[in-house]
Amino acid sequence: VNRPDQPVSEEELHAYVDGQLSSGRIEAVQRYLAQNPIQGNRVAAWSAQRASLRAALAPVAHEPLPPVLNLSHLIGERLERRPAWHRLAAAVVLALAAGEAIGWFTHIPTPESRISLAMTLLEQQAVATYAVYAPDKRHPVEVPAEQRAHLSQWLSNRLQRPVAAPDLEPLGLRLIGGRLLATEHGGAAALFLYENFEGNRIGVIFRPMSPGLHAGRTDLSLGNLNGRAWIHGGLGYAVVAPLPDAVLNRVANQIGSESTPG
Amino acid sequence: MELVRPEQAGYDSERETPSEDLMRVLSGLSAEVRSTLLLVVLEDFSYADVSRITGIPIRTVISLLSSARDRLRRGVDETAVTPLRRVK
Repeated sequence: VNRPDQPVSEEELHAYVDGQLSSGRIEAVQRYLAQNPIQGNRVAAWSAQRASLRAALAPVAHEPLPPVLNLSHLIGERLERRPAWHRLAAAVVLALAAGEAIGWFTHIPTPESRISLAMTLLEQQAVATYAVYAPDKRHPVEVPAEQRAHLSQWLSNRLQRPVAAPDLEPLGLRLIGGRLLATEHGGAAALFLYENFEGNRIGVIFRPMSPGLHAGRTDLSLGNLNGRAWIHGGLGYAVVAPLPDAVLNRVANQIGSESTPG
Repeated sequence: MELVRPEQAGYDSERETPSEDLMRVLSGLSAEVRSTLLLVVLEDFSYADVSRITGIPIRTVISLLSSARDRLRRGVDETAVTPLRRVK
């Protein structure tokens, strides 16, 4: 179908840049570009852009997505009718397509909003996790404390970073066990659940955040739930329990000292 | 401007943070234009797939691509401190 002598179309110029041109037309496009310096320059710039965009965005395209992506207003309901693999890939791209998300990923300075966004996500996850799992008498965890080594290895694999149940025995908190959590962006997070001698449960949540992100400890509360949350080295930490500030501070200090050796 | 042939295209590695200029211009594009470009560039979708995913006719996909790429090119050129150089 592709005759070497047919005129070069705009689509073919793009296809040339994107590596989507049929091999039978490459030579014709190259000849055309060589003979038309204006188009040659244009296409050369497109190629450079493509390489830069991929270098800048591809490594983060598969990170957990920030919540800036109210995708619905960008794409309407169209994607709902598409096959799932389309929806997934499109979600990644459209997330990146949001201006704020680009700032998020490429570290164009918006530190305040990034941190507050990250903290909000972390706190929401912590409170929701505690609310669902902590009251469960029979199945609060997936892996019990008796399999502590396995628990730690499993969650480290799933979170793709070393995580272990903090030792809170010195504070009178016994480990019940832990479970895997799903983040709203399809990432993996972890819950370790503890119990004091009065039977009150304390949840410790580890949630991977944007690489290298740090945020100081903040207080959170919802109803009778109290909490502390912070981000260190791209890992979010949250401690949640219906317990007084003093207890939560001690737990947070203990975990903080474990995560920052020395 | 010096002619850069397609087969020689590529960024001069000494040029300062090309991606920052690019990101700034990119974030100024409309969502429709930006999504089209990123579906092609990042996800390697064919133009027909982009058309199916977004529901935009394929000829419009092509013109959105041209628009995105030309605007990025102009935007980056305007903010560039050092012009593109020939890359071996």
